[in-house]
Amino acid sequence: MNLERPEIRDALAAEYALGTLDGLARKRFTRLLSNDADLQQRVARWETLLTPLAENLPAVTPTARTWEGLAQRLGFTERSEKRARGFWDWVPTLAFAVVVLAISGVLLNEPVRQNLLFVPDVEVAISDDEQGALWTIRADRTSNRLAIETLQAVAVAADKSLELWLLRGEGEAPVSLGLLPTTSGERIRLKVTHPLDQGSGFAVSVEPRGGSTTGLPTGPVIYVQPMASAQA
Amino acid sequence: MIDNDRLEPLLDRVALRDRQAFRHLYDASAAHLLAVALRILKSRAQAEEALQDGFVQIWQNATRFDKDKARASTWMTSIVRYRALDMVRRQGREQSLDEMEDGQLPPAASIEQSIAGEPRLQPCLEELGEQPRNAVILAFVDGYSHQELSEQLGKPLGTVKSWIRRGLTQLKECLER
Repeated sequence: MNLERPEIRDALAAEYALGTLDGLARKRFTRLLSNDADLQQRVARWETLLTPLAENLPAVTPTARTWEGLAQRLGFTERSEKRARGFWDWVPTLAFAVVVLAISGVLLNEPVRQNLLFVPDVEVAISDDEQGALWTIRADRTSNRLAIETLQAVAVAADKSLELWLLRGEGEAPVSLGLLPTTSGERIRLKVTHPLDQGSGFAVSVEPRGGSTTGLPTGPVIYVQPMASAQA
Repeated sequence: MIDNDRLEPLLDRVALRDRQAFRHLYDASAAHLLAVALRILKSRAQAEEALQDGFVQIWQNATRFDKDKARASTWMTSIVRYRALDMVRRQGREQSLDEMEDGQLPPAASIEQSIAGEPRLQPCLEELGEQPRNAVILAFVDGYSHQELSEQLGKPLGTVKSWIRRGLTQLKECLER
């Protein structure tokens, strides 16, 4: 079959969307589809044409179990396994804290101390499905600072910037943390005004050069990374 | 009928990993999407499984939803429908008769019902002629393969295939004029 001819491409897209393209032909078509923008567009057009056929069916309410299973598959229902900490569990932490405070109080002046005592309690990588890790983000939620390192050059259009957002709890708008560096090896430190310990994760969106002017993401969100603690 | 003006902002928030928005999105659309899966799979348990799989994909791929390219309802329906089609082609429909006797299935909407309220689609479907029209609708709504259509409609495979091909071409010409 000659896949160069537009009418054949369109006929295949139509039967794919209809569902009658079957077996091996469907498999082959699905493979082609994943990196053929023209085919994707044709399929989307057919889906738009045909979907109204299925939109007036009498609704059928799913059982509660379906949502519960979904929430579990997506990790929404966390089983809490933290045990209560007793006094003796805290002793090593307290001892360490006392030593750190003593040294920093005695030996360091304020600016040096701020600089040296960046103690990240969160470390995440923002990764692309195909290219792998693009940035590491380390956050010190006590001093509200971030250290970002670009692990490889990130391609971005000349009129666009990539903006980093702090995702917060349910129903709350994300907060801008600033623009991301895109040159390989580039490191930045940021002091953030919004409390980082209120964040649940990070997101990266494509914005006009210089960043969103509305205070909210305006372009597509291309990466999302939940926060994970640097140590258990 | 799904309210797209409500779904699109929810999908934007789901792209930002907003779980509450995801719950609202589910509440606003799951019953419609389950109906779509159920018509194809004819089994309640399988249809709920397809719905759940579909919503996992919706959560994972929400960043790829582009409202300039598709309506939210089309995007979400397609995800669940393709999942149901995959399942029906792989697992077959053996259970359909038993489950229909259990009265678990909603009454099958007539072809007139499924196109009523679609002012653009209805006249174009009418132009197709009865048999090609039925073939296209049965294929899309019930997920029948060429072979199943041939059995259901009692016509040779070749005839059914050409109805579908011709039906789709005519439908597109009509809708795009």
